[in-house]
This record gives sequence, structure tokens and C-alpha cells, in this order.
Amino acid sequence: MDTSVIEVQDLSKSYGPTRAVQNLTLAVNKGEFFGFLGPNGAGKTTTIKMLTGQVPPDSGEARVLGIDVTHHIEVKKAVGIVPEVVLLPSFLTVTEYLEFVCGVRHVDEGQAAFWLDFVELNESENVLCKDLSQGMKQKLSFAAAFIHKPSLVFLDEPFADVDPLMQKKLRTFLNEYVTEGGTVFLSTHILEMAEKLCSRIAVLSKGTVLKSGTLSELLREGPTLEDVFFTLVRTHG
Amino acid sequence: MADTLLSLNLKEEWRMLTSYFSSKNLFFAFPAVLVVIGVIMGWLLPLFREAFEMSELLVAFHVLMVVYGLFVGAFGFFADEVANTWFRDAHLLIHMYTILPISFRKLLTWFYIKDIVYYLFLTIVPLFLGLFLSFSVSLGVVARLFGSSLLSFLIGVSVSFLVSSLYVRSRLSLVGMLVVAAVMVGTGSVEDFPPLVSFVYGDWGAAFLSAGIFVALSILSLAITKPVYRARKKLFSRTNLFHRMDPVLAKEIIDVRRSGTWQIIATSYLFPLIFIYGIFYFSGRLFQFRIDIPLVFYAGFIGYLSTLVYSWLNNIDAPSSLSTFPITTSAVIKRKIMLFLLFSFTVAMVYLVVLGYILEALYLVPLSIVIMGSTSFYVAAVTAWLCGLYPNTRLFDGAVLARYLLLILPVLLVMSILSLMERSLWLLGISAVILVSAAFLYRRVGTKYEHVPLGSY
Repeated sequence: MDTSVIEVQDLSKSYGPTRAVQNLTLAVNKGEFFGFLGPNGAGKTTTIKMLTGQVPPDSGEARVLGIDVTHHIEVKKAVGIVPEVVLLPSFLTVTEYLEFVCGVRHVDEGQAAFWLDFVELNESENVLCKDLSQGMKQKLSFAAAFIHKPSLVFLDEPFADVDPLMQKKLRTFLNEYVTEGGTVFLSTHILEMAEKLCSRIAVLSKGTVLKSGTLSELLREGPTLEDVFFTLVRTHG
Repeated sequence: MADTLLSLNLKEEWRMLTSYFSSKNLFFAFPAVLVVIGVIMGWLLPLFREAFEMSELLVAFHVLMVVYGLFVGAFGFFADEVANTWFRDAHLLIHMYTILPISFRKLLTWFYIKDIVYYLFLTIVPLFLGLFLSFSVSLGVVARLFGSSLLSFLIGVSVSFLVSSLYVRSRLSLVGMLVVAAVMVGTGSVEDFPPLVSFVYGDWGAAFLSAGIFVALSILSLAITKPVYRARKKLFSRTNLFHRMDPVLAKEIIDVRRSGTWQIIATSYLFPLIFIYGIFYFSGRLFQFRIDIPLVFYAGFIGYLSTLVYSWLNNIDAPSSLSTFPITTSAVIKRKIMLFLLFSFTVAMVYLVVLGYILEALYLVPLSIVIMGSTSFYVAAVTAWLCGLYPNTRLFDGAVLARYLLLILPVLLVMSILSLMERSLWLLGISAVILVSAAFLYRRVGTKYEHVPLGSY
């Protein structure tokens, strides 16, 4: 029996006159690698921000790991988040940032050393976060998202600036994470990445889900995920 | 291309400035207030003329205009990549030289012209319009004074531009330039200042000379300005603060230390001292009383610096960098207030003890510390309660500003009067009331911001 770790019902959010997300309904099960695809401005980041307690929804309901998303601190305690725009505390060094995250999440500081090594930032451990390259910031953000061993992570374009070698390492890690029971909610523009990694996919446009299903279900509508995506967005978007 | 750059720069500035206000109409309240100040200046002129020589007033006014120009003219710093972080999330046209085939110098030139246009129409013109509307001074005098004041302002702007450009490009040349300037100022007389000469003698030659100085210094500044890239990353040894205290407080302490904000805060307590001295000097001249700064008055007054210091603490880093962690907005605000209290109290106490020693009023230091402590905590708590983590922008909102003034001004007035009257017992009593109010507001900060996600408002 599937257990939903994310349950969303009629979720909406507007920014002034712009309706970013409209009556969004979806469910993600435990142990899924869920792909959230859509063109720019489709509402992917706003959805992730609502589901992770970063932005309050205007209407609708959403529960993440059984927690109402309006209880934003409880949600943030439970999940890991890699945001699209990685903002790190400017004046902390790489190591200090990871120690800070350990402190905030009440995790043993040994985790900081492990993740520093895993994302290969040892040589930059004493560099301030503001002086890191975008790719380094993204790697550090990835480490911070997993440091407390969450059972569910939200990744918003996590590979955009990461080099191919590290991308491969992170992909392998994520596959192992899901195999061991973790759940990944991945928002990406890179369709090849979604095709390789995701077990189930939802295509979003103009704030509403156009289609969702397993990869094989979606591929019934076209030869490749790219074809399916283009058709859906052009027809309904 | 040139007119496009000017118009885009003007639009950019307009949109940025109006974004600080809850409505565009409120934006015009600022020049309107300056018109009123101009009218009041005109009406008070006869009173000032009784206490001061006309020449003294003219010198003071032109010096103030130069100082105003010096404050706004540090455009040379835009050549430093650090300036990219000044506007937080806003990215300006001036920084587009990094990705577009256009020189930094060209962008800076139009940015410079745009800023002068804005300062001229938003501040100087309204002030002189008010002066004219007071009908205390003839139109001819207002026009001449406007011209000479504008030239003084422009000279201040261009000197500041040159100094900041040299600071970024070559600090050795800056020292050289300052030595030459010191010699020139030391050997010259303030009465020879060209804009002043142009006003007093109606000398067109002096006016053209002033304009020439402004143009020459501006061109020189633009010529030597070149973007600076800090390729070398500064390394920092690991701190053990995270092992010893709450991680959010530790982060705040590190931010203040590494951003250099502590230096600004440490020197900031000098400004109210100079301001109070200026007020007392002019009041002394106007109403013929002895010029003396009571220690308790200064103690109460520096409490009002708290809004500024609290704003600086919030300008160091964007709160959204913590938005993915289980940290409440109220927790961050409370850590900032804690840090403010720890740091400001220490610095302010040093100032009070030194000033108490200079004024031979060491016996008043304990009372002054109580007054400083209570007003500082109260003002910081009011600012935090009303503005959260965005005091710089939220205070521009008319409704917030009105509530702020309503909560702050009566307290300032009462404390000032009582300290001038040296009513120690009353001061202690009021301090206790303020302290209780501050503690109440501190608790309210918790309830108001507990459920507000970081970076979402």
C-alpha cells in the first residue's frame, strides 16, 4: 500500500494580480523520486516554497509528512531543501556554515566533516560563503539539505551549476537515498535528468498540473518525455 | 544611446525609490516636507540675524551644502565589486558592464548625472521653493542663493567622488591629495570659497570658476575610475563560537565582526555628540546661555541612535539565507536585539564614562547608564516590533512611520526636558517605565513574528 508523504488539495498562491499556483492537487508517495516539470513561470518554485513552509498559501490544504504546511517550523525541521536561488550566510566560512546547520538542526557536528568531504569542498573550508562560485554554493546547499538525514527532500534545480562529475556523484547518491526509503521531490528543466531519475512525474503549466503519472504512463503519449512535455505545454499551456 | 541611458537610469532610480513606500503619493511627502522646512527657515531668518552676523550665516549655509554634497557623492565606490551587494536583491544598470559591451565609465557617467538630477529636484529645489514661499527673502536673493548653494553642493559631490575613486584605485594617491587639500584649506580663507564669492559679490567669474572646479573634478574622477575585482579570496580561521552559544546568535556576532559593521557602530556615538554640541552652540548664541552638554541629556539622546544601529545590524545579510531552516523570524529579531544590547551598551558606556570624565561629572555616570540603557532598549524594541527585519524600508511606510513617531517622540521629549532640568528621581522613574514597556514590546515581537516565515514579508 502506498503511503503519501505529500498531499496537496486545491492549493493556490497569487502575487498581486499574478496567479502563480491555481488549485493545485497532487500526492507523492513514500520512496518515490517525483519529478516536477514545467516551463519558466509555471509555478514550480512557488509550489516548493509553499510545501516547505517558506511561503504561506492563499488557499487550499497541503500536508508534508503529515504536517500541515502552515506549521512552517515543523515542516522545515522534518524535510531537507535545496532552493533554486542559493542564498548562504555571506560571512560564514564553508565549515562554519555546516556547523551552523548542525547547531540549528541539533545534529552531531561529525556530520559537517562528512558532508564537507562528500561535496569535495575541503580545499575551500575557510572561504567565506559569499566568495564561493555558484556551483560550490549549490554543493554546499545540497550538503546542508541532507545533514540531518531527512526522509523527504525538495530539490529545486539542484544541478544547474554543478559540474558533470559532481552531478553524477549526486545522482548516484540520490538513487541510493530513494532505494533506502527516502523520497525526493525534484523540480527541474532538464528533461533528460527527469527521465533518468524520476519514477513519477507531474507536468505543470500556468500554476496547474497538466498531467501526472509514472514515466511509462507519460510515454504512452509520445516517443520521448521531451515530446510529451512539448505537446502538453503547447496544447494546454 | 546617451539619452536612453539617462532615461533608463532615471526610471530605475524612480522605481527603486518608490518601492520603499507603500504608495507613490507618500513618496512626494518627502519633498513636501522640505518645502515646509524651507518656509520655516525663511520665517526664522530674522531671529537668526539678531544672533549672528550675516556673513556667519552665509558661511555656515554654504559649508552645510558642501557637507551635504560630500555625503552623497561617494560614487567612486561603485567601481568596487563590493558595491554589488549594497542594494541586496536589486541589480542596477551600472553593474551591467560585466555582461554587456558597454564601459563602466560610460554607465557611471550617466548614473552620476542621474543622481545629481534627483538630488537637485528632490531636495535642493523644494528647500529653496519653501524659502521663496516664506516671502521673507526676495526672489532675486533666493535665486542667487540657490545658484551658489547648488555650486557648493556640486563641489562637495565632486570632491567626494574624487576621494572615493582614489580610495578604490590608489590609497597612496589619496593620502597625497588630502595633504595638498589640507594645505590649501589651511592657507586659504573660507570667505574666498568661489560659490560664496559668487553670491556675496554677484561675481559671475567666481560662479564659472565653481562650475569649472566641479566639472574638472568630476572628469578627473571618471578618468581614474576603473572596476576593481577582488580575485583573492580572504581566508578566515575557524571560530569556535558555534560550540559555545546559540547558533543564530553566533552567526550574528560573526556577521558584525567580519562585515566591519562593528567599526561603524563604535564611531556612530560621536555623531549625536557633535549634533548636540551644534544645537547647544546655536541655541547658546540665539538665547545667550552657557554652552554645556549635560551628561544625562547625551545619555538619553544616544538611545535614539538605536534605530540606526538596529538597521545596520539588519543590513549585513539577507534573512532569506536562513529561510530553509527551522528558525522563526522572531528568533532572529530577538538575537539581533540581544546583540544590539550587548554591543551598544558596551560602546555607549565607554562614551559615557569618557564624557563624564571630560565634563567632570563622573558622579552622573551611573544615572546616565540607566537612562541610556532604558531608552536604547525601548527604541530598539519599538523599531523591531514595527519593522521586523526590514527597518530601512518599512520606516518609509507612512503608517509605520507615524506609529514609530507616536511611540518615540513623547518619550524623547520628556526625557530631554527632565535631563535638562536635572531631575534625577523623575528620570529614574521614567527609565523604569520605559524599561517595562521595552520588555513588553520585546515579548510582543515574539508573538507578532512567530508564524511569519523568514524572508516572506
